[in-house]
Amino acid sequence: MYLKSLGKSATEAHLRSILATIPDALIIIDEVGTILSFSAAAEKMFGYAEEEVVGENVSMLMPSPDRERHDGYLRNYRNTGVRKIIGIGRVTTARHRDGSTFPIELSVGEANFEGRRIFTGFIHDITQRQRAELRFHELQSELAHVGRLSELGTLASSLAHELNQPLTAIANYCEGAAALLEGEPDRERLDMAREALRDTTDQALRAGEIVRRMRDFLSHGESEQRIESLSKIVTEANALALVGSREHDIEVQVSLDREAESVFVDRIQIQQVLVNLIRNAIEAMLDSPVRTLIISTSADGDAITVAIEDSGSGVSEDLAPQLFQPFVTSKESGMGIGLSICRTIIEAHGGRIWFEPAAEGGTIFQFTLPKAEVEQ
Amino acid sequence: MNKWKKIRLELARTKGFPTGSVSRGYLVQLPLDGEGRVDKNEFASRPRLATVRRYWSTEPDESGTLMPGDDRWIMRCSGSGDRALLLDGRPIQLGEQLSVLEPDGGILPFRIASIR
Repeated sequence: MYLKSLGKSATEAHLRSILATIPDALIIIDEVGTILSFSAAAEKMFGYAEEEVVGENVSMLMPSPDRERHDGYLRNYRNTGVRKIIGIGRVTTARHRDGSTFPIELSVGEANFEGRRIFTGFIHDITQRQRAELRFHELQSELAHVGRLSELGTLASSLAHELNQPLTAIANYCEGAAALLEGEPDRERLDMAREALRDTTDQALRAGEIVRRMRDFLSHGESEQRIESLSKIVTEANALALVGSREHDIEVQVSLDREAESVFVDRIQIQQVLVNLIRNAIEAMLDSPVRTLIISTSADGDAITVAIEDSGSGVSEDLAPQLFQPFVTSKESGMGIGLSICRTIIEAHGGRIWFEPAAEGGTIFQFTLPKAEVEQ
Repeated sequence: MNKWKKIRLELARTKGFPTGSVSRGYLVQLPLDGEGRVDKNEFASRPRLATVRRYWSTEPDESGTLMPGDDRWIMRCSGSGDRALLLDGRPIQLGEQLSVLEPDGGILPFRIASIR
């Protein structure tokens, strides 16, 4: 509509014909967020006709909490000129007219048109390709985890052997020292007993070293922890987890606590945990009459809690006690190591992960992360 | 058969919006029978599933629950006073209109934009 108003020059017609061929949706807004133009692909992607949305605020196409925050983002940019999304692009979620949420990749550009600042948004519906990529990453880490587990079996038996040596030595030294100290020991026997106790200490330290090596092995990985934005991690993971779930008509509610924003984590690993938990939640709801997924964050002292609640049928009692064990699953496909990986990752971050039944019958999975101290 | 339906309501023609507004509406979840009437038995068996979300382009999203009233459904959302969905004995069918009683006593018309 905006372009239509520009006059019927040949250049414009040419431009429109090019735009019509772009599979991505194109939305043009002014600097306060009012929709000026809504391409044919956008009409199809969101379920609205251009004339219905032109003049509306673009935030109507976003789910909460982005919707309420968008005006603030624009205002911030107008006041500070600091670019947070322009020219960068990000994976996020959009809201269809029917209320459903779907994953998108958004690229935003900025232009000046007749002295007015406008923003162009290209929206790419994340499709099968990203889904395949995601699955590939999942498989890679599943394999690494299984590899680690089988190595762990080997390691455990050699470890038992290795630990046995210092423990036997400690027992012998202690027994010897006790014998040397019996009765009224002379100076020589006291010296020998002292020596035996020193050796005991050495052996105990050696045993400790072996245990430390095993810990290193368990937490081994290319973990890169830094201060990250939890809301960004959650938004992206949510978008990735929703790929391919459109037909299941999941209603997603995201509620992010502003106090729970900065975390000290390995972003990729925490996203893997979230994607895993969200996927599980979606699968748990497939047979339910109502499919609501609630993702929330909250801060309490030094800990941040992330909760993923589904409206599924809950975890069966016989499965519950061993749910975080590897190779435990109620699904027909899958190896049952997803939650085991989640636990390994969360514990390596110094947090804990657990689940409890939800009030409405589903399940709430929760995990904690340490809060990052951000210097002001 | 799953009786629980998501009913999307969009603001119909009013003084302020001569052509209505697609960015102002509700997503109501209720069990319907074949004729578009609320299935009271199904509702009674799982009342907590009856929920509502309110979308209003100039205000934050709200969500809440639905409770049956006298030929109306009370919509209780976080952050605002109760509203009521007035059915006036009419079935819930695509393209039909129904009204919402606002907390201030005003009544706004809504179009049934989708049922799924």
